Amino acid sequence: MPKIPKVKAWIVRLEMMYENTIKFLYREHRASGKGLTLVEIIIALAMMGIVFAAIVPLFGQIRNSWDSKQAAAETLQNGRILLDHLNRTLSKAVRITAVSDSSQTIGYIEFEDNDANNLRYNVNGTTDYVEFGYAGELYDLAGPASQLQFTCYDACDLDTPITDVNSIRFVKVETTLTNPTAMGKDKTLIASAYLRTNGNNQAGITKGTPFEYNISLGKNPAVVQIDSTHFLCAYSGPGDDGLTVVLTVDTGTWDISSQTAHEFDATNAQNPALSQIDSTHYLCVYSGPGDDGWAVVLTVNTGTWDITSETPFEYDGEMGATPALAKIDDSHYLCVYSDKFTDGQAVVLTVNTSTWDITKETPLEYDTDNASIPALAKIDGSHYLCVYSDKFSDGQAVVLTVNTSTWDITREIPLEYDTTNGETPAVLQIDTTHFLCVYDGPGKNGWAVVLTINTGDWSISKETAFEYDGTSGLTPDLAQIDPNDYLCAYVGPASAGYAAILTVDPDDWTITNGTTFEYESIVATTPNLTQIDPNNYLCAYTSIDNDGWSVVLQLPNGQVKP
Amino acid sequence: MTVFVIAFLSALTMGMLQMNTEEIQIVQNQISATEALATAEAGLNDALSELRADANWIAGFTDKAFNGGSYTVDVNDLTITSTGTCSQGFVGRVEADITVGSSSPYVIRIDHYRINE
Repeated sequence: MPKIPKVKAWIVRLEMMYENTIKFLYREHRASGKGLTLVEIIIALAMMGIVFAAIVPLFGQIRNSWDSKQAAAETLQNGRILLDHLNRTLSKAVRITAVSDSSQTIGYIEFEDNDANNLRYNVNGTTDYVEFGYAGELYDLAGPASQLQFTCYDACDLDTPITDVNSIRFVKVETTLTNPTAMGKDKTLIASAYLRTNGNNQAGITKGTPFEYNISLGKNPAVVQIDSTHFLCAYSGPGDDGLTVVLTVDTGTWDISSQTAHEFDATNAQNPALSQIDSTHYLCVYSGPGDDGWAVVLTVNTGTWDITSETPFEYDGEMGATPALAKIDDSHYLCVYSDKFTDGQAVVLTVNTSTWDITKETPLEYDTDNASIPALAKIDGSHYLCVYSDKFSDGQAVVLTVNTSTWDITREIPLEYDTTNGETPAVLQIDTTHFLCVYDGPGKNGWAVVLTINTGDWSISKETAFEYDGTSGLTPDLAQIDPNDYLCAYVGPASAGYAAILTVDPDDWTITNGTTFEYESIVATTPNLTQIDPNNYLCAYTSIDNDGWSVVLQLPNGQVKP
Repeated sequence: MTVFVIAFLSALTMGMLQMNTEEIQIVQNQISATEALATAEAGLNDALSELRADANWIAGFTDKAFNGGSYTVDVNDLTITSTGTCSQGFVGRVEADITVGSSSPYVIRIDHYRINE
């Protein structure tokens, strides 16, 4: 527009010349009484032409200016849509799955929203438009853009950009929308979003430093919590002897250390299971000498963390394989195991809390065909859910009822919860009538199902089963995070140690899982999980050369604090 | 001719002014919408703060004044709906499905978050 006054002055001059000429000609012709000659008309038209020739370029400039202002408004509107969109969708993102480096001016970001959709923003290399949509099905959103730059931060430090997608909680986006007109200016806009939604299941699992608690052998570990930082671990050590050790977790660094191990059975102790009696005493059942069923009380000195064992008790003189324990009260414990015919046996073990001697009540053969590797969960004071693998390796579940006067056991109506395969199950209570069961299911893959107990007749029904790992899912174990979320550790592909968080929808009891995490890449069998706090879990497992290992699995972004 | 040129230039000037006015209005609308949404988020954060202290808190807020505007919060079971109104009358709405921890102070996790839906 700066040229307008100059052009306008010229127009005014030409106009005055034109008007003076017309006036002169008019006066001349009025005086002579003659009309205009051809030459006069040509002169007049020529002058008009000159005037219009001066005006027409002005039209062009005005047109350009108009176009540029219109484009600027459109660019701004595009920018507004883009910013709103970025803010809205990224705020709803559960986690970022991939993002370009913060130095990349034409970047991209991929994330999972709270409906488990995988979404993406990037710039189309051909049209230069910002695209958005499901990964692989993108559509134009706004543009053209010459910049789409993502800078990510964690929840606490908004000064230091990070690239670890599991820690990203804040995203800043800088975009430059280009004004396509010749005179137009580009618009650079900045948006930011805090990831408000965060299911524990979708937050990335990380781990602390693994700790080898037995460098010679450590098979089939079982762990119970002593206090907030100490955990009792029983396992099969060198020579398959029964060993137990206190593991100490440093809740600052999440490093693990161990105290002196105690040998509670110098002959044989396979597949131990533990249950807390009181703050210093623990009942341990195991497949002991002669593969018989044995039980022993372990005493922990909470000053020195030394462990001693009381007199062992042989609760099955023929065989007691893969036992599982559930506490009835301080003195009574329900123990289920496989007998010499691999049939399912259940017995109440009574602990004398003065002498720490153990006795047994009348056993019940709850499955006369076959019951391998059972697991137990308490329903109420007298009912227990037992899940196991039957003679066809199918998944079976049954409620065992304990008469708390006579300590006799009866079994209720069983349910075959998986008719194809259901081995090495683990089970946890969700609420009074629902239980989450994970198992090595069809295809030896990882499966989970919610079992519903009818507290009228103690029959069991099942909800829709869910395959949480389609490649492998052996010997899973569970720990509860909150009423809806459960941490599951299992043997995944190539015998590596994996963990996944399973989320149960209490409306329809469907199960979903977030991204799995490989906590041990070489080998990790028979994992056992114990909660340290809602975001940290102690996982004991057997790794390479059958050594005993442990690691803290962490959910660093597990809780969003408002 | 003079009249014609002046009229033409005036029309152009008016058009330019109109365009600028629209641009300013767009920016103003964006500011107001952002302000309304921020007000709604403030209401949600206020509610989460109450729930952290008392997991059974369901009272909500009605037209609680905030930054020249106000927010109204409804707590329905485990769904919190916050509606924010900015000083210009624009309305923003956020809704969160939450899970509340089992012990005090109650840690709250947002499971689903909806903005202006």
